[in-house]
Formats: sequence, structure tokens, C-alpha cells
Amino acid sequence: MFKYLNIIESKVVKFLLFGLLGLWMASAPSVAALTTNDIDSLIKQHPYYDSEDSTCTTTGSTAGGSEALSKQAGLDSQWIDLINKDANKYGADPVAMASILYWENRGWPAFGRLVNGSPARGMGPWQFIADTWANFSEYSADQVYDPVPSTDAAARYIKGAGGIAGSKAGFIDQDFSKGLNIPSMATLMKNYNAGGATYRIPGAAQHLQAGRVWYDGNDSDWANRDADKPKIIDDYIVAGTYLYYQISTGQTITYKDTGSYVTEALAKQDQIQGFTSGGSAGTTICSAVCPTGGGVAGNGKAVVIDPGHAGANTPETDSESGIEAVESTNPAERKQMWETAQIIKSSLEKDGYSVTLTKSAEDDPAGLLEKARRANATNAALAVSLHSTGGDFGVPNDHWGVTPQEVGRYRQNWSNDKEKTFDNAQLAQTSQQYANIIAEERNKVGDKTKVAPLDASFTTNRVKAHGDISIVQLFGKIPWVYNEVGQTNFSAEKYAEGITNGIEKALGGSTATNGSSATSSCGAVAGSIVQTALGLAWPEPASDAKPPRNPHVPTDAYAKAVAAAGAPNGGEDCGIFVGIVMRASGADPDYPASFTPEQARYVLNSEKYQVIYRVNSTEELQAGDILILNAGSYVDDQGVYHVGDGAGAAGHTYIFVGQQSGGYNAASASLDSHMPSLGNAETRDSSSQNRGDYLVARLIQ
Amino acid sequence: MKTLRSRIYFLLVVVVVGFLLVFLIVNNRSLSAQINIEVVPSGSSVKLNNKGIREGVSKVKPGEYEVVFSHQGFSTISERVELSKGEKRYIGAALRPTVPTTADWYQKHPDDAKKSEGISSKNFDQSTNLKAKSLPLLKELPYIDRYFRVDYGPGVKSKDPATSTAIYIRASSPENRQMALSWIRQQGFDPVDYEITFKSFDNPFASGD
Repeated sequence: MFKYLNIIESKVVKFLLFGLLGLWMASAPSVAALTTNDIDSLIKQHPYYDSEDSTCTTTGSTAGGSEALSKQAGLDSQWIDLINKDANKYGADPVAMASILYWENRGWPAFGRLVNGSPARGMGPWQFIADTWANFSEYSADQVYDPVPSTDAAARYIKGAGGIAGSKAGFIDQDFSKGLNIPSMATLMKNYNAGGATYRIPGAAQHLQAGRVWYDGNDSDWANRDADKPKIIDDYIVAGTYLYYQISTGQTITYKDTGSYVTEALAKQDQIQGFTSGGSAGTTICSAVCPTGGGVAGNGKAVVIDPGHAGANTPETDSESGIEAVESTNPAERKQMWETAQIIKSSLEKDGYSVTLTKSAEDDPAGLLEKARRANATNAALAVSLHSTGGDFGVPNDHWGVTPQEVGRYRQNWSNDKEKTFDNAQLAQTSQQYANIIAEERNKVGDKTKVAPLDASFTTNRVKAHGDISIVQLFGKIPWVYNEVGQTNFSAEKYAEGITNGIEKALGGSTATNGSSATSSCGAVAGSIVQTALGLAWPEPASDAKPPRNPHVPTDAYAKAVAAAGAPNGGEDCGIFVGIVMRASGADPDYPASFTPEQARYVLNSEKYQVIYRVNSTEELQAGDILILNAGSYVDDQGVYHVGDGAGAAGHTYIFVGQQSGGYNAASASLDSHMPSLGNAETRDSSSQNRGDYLVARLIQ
Repeated sequence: MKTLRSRIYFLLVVVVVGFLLVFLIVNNRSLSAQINIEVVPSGSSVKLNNKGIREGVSKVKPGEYEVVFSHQGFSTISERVELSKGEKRYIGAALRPTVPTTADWYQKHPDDAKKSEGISSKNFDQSTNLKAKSLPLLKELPYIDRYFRVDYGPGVKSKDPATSTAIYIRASSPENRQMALSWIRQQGFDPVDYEITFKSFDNPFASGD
């Protein structure tokens, strides 16, 4: 009887629910086809939309400088084709790949199977040791000697080690304490050799640890480290950097032996330093509607200029973190920077930029936290701080120059040890990208500088919180680049010119000389996959919602997007959700809007996507990645991966959005089960049926 | 007499009905777990502890169950599940073609193909929810620090794929690994409760370049 009562009750409830849903749907206003701007507007009306958190992410990159390979006598055309193909597939830098190929073989190898080395010392043309080969390839152990599979793995490895198209060649005396992601050939060589783990300094039983200063190898006592000691110039790094420079510029490689080649490279250090190859540094995906002229977060034509120092020594304490900050007056520097800021502001405004200063007048007493708040409120694409310090104008310095935001940098109060660490990886990535461009432009106008960290020498006991990042950058929620320059023979005009050019190039403006610059592609992509997904989905699964909500009810933004798209089933479908996000964001207007096998076939056959068949952990995912269950894929007893044949029927799909507040990192819908909401990612079907891996489709356009 | 007999009969009926009601209430309360079953191809056989059962929601007693899905020409899937009191568990299965005559089944039966997509989505939701509840550290991940990063992915120690998850720590030195473990403790979790895999960036030229 109760069974029947349950059925009756269930039917009554369903009747009422469907009736109410029907009434709600019938009462919903009809919506004309939405434009991208409409979608963006809807997203911004979403109750959980955080206008201050609209950061960008860089997804993939395009191969640059590939034509340079054809100028290398002795490099087989099959190698050229293969390197270009795989570089393009994974967003690696083909010149960086060629440089490493040359170095590992001490010359251009013949194209073909190359059986050499050993599992412990390195095998094949790319000199993989066995473990690395197992981690980075999908092939059998014996295929390490074959050019096609080994180059495929090398491209992935090199991209992951920092060999991104558009990388710098220069700075062969790079300070690796800046981290793994500073794009330069030196960093790539270090990472390729040792990754972020340990770097073998020749001639000493000494390893460079990530985050440590690259210091004199004779000083093996880490406790007695001294950043000012002479730095080691390592053959591996110098040679790789010089190879990159020579190949990029179409020169004949002059390598005879390592010693003479390194000597020659060091003699040409000035030419190499700051050199950047052609090609794109990646596609910057940004807010749902890409602002005019490209850009990143918020308004791509909006820029914040932060002239250093204030009209008073202004102490502040951040209420959330407890960090104590104090702005100082420094009248001479304050005057110089205010004048420089006026020049930059005027130039940018002539070119159509909207410029906000963090001070209303030279003697504005605004403190550092207040400046950060003012900048954040603009939602600008970039903030640039202006400072000067002791030293000669136009002479690079290891401790300051052009400093980006970087994950892990911190400030800690002297008084009570309260600490705040910068942890926004996406913001850091964009900031680093812009810092490189600004440094490059400053160098071009004779304001010689380099991308350099604000290391421990930056803060002494003269400030209230020590650390290695400026307060404004630490509290900045937009990409922020901090500039320092020598005060002796200071030239406000040159300082302003280099920074203005850097800003405009970074944001894809009038001085952009390369159509594929980092942010100009933003216009083409016209939107953020992540921001759009977050704007359309509920911020948590219905089961976690407080107060509870019906999982079958969409957000207003998603309901309207579904209506505009004419999607079936109210859009309560994983494939429809991903399709709508890709289209509404403008990231890919051609993305199929429904069935996941169709979507899988699309990404597998489209040149727009880098497809990774199998990833293990979330480490291998990037925000904006699409994951589709590749039903039937498996790894056999020999460890060989087999791609799914599709016979296992259709599977789930979702978008990885990176770590979000609330502890969620994936956005998805579920057929007839729930409307789009955030949840958590998994990379492999973990039902007992073990239906296979989620393949990862990463937009590279 | 007649009135007395009628009253006795009436009382007997009341007592019997009362017992019946109590029995039904007790019996229904004992069926406090729910199992929701879906399978493709449509019409597949589903057995719960060797007894045929239809797709949809069924109330069952807490305990261990084996669900077996089968269909001629497709793989047979067996899934064991332990249900506690009040638990609601979804079990969806998309059977895989095993003979040439069924190889293109899902291409020819789009309704089944679509349903299999939904089954996969529900399995995903259930799996990620279970993991987040049993391994709450996952909610903090990925975590990226200057000296280490902490991620998660498939584990190998647990035999139950629904909850088999490992924490992946990539750190460049023993000190940094300890920093990562300290960070986990700072979040209120004991690393011992987790399967942890340390990932280091391999040096391909460890013994020479």
C-alpha cells in the first residue's frame, strides 16, 4: 500500500513540478537571438559574477619563427616539417625545439631512427631518459629512437618546460630564482635539463634548487648563500641560448666545440640579450566580450598608471590579511614619476586609451592599499607602477627593472608575522607576459633593463612588512607590472616612451608590430571560456546550495542563452552546456552544441585544438580546457595507451575552470539531472565500469 | 447476540487491519535505502542479487548488493554496492558492444546513445561528490605554491574506482615536499589519510648531457 502511496505521491509531486515548470517557461519572455554582448551583459548581471575577479588565462600558443628552420643548411626537411607540425600541435616554440635538437646531437642529426645512449643517460635524437619518456610519451619504450614519436613527446616536454612560441632568447645570465615560467631560452634549457627540480652546476657537487638564487657554484653552503656573488655561466644554457639566437636570425651555426662556441656566445651577449623571436606568445582569453583593441581583464583600453610615492608617509593596515603598509614621500622620485606619468597618460590617451592615475595630484597622500583599491576599481587591462632608484639610467640591474606579479611572492609584517602571499596564477601569467613586452620596449628606446624580481633587497626594515613583491602588486586584482629605473641621468621622456610602447604593444594597440602578439588575438577569440562558464553556471552543485535550490532550474543567464541558441531540453545536457559556452564566449563559434561524440570528433579533427588523450592529475589541466570522456580508451599491460574507438557509446563532457571559491574547479550540466553548476573535475571515468579517460581539448587558436 | 457478534467481528477486522498497517509501516521503514538504476541498451537485463529488477528508483534494505547488467551481444557489467541506511545510490551502466552485429548499435540507436551520455554524466556527478566528501582535501585543489603544487588524480591503492584518488605533490626538493605536507596539515588534514604520489620533474640528463 505504501508502495502505491509513494507512487501516487511521486506522480502528484511530478505533476505539480512539471506544471509549475511549464507555467514558468510559458511566462518567460521570448528572447531574440543574443549577441555576444548580450551574453556578456547577462553574465555580469549574474548574482555571483565577481567583476573584480575577471582575470585572463593564456591558452596555448602558436608556433613562431618556424620559417627560420628552413635557412639551416644541414637540417633535413623532414626534421623541419616534423618539428613545425608538433610545435604547432602543442604550442611549442619550433626554434627552441631545433636548438635543443642541435645541442643534444652536437649538430643536425640525420632524419631516421637514431639508436644511441642509454635509458639512464638519454636515448634517441632528443636524449630522453627512460622515466621522462614514460611520462611524456604515449609510445612504447623502443620508439624513443624514432623521430616521429620522440619529436611528438619532445614538443610536449619543451612546451611544458617553458619553450613557448615567442619566448625570449636573451638573458643568458638569468636569475632562476624568478621561477619556472619566465620565458627565455635560458629557462627552457635549465628546465629541459632538470626542470624545476635540481640543476647540475658543472664542476661542483651542487644543485640549484627552484626558488634559490643562481650563485657561485664554489659556495656549496646554502646557509651562507649570497645573491651578490659571481654567477656561474653554464655551457648548456649559454649554448642553447646562442643556438636559439642564431637559428632565429637565420645565421649559420658556428659551433665547433663547446668551449669556443660558448666564448663566442658570451662575446655577443649584448646582441642576444632581450632578443625575442617572432611568433605568438599565446592566446589570451579574457572577459566574455573582448574589449576594443584586445586586452585582458575588463576594459582592454583602460590602463592604470601608478606614479611612485605620495604626499605623506601614509600608514595603512589591510583589514583582511593584517598586512601593514606604509607609503613614503620620497619627494625627488615622486616628482620624477609624476612627470613621467603625465607623459605616458598623454601619449596613451592620444591613442585612444583610457588612463587612470592612482593619485589625483603629485602630493596626493594616498597609501599603497588605497592605490591598489583605486586601480582594482577600474577593472583595467593593466596597471603599471613607476619608480626610480639609485644607479645609472639605462643600466640593467639584477634586483629591479621590470617586475611582474608572481605566485609565491609575499609580504610579512615585522611586528606580528602576519603574511600575505600572491597566489593568482592566471594573473601572474598575464603579468609576466606583459612585463616581458614592456622590458623589450624599454630596451628598444635605450632604457636598458631586464625582467627582474624584487628580491629580498627590495624590502628592509624601512618598511613594515618585508618580502619580495610590491604592496600594490600583492593587492592588485588586475595584471600589474612594477618598473624601476636608475636615477642618475634620468630621462623622463625615454622612461615614458619605453613604457608607453610596452603598454600599447602588450594590449595590442598602435605600436604592436606583430599581429599575433599576446593580446591582439583576444579580439579574435572574443571571450573567456572560463568567465562565460562561470557566468552561466550555478556556483555550486544543488546539493551544496544554501538555501537549497532545484537542480533542474538554470541561472537566468543560462536560460536566456539556451533560449537564444534554441537548444533542446532546456539546455539540461552536458554537451549543450559546453557548446553554448564555446559559442557564447566567442571562443569557437563552430563548436557543436550537443552530442558529445560529435564534439569529440570535432576537436579531434580541428586544427583549433590541441588534444591530449590522457592526463593523470589536475596538474596537467589548464583553465578553459574541455574534457570529453573518450569511451573505450585504456592502457594495456605493457603500459601502451589505446585511444577509444567510440563503441562504448557517448560520455560526459565538462569545462575545467581552475580552482574557484567554494572549492570547485569544473563546470558542467547533466542530462535530465541538473542544470550547469560548478563541481569537481576528474580525469578518468571512475565508475566501476572504467569507461576510459577524459580526453582534453585545449583551444590553441 | 447478533449485535455482540457483529461487534466482535468488527474488532477482529480492526485488529487485523491494525497489525497489517503496523507491519507495512515497519517493513517500509526497513527499506530505507534507495537504488536508482539506468542501463543502455534499453531492454537490458538487470539483476539485483540475482533477482530481476526494473530500471528506476527502488527502495531496498541497507546492505550489500550486486547489480548485474547484461544484454546479448554486449559486455556484462557487475557492480557491487554497499548501501547504508538512508543512502541513495545511482548505478548507471552503458554496455559495450562485443560482437560485430552490435558494433554500431549506438550509431543506429540515438536514443540509447543519448541516454548513455546522461548515464556518464550522472556517474561523473556521483563519483566527484563521493570523492569530495570522503577526501575533503580535494576541495582545496589544485593548489599552486611557489615551491610546490598539490593536485589530485587517479589513485592505485584503493580497489574501489569510485573513491580511488591520489594526491599528487610536485616539489623540487625534500624540503619543498615537507612544505607541501605542512600545507596539507595547515588545511586541517592529515596526509596519512591520503594516498600521496610525489612527482618530481625528471632530469633527462641526470648522468650526463
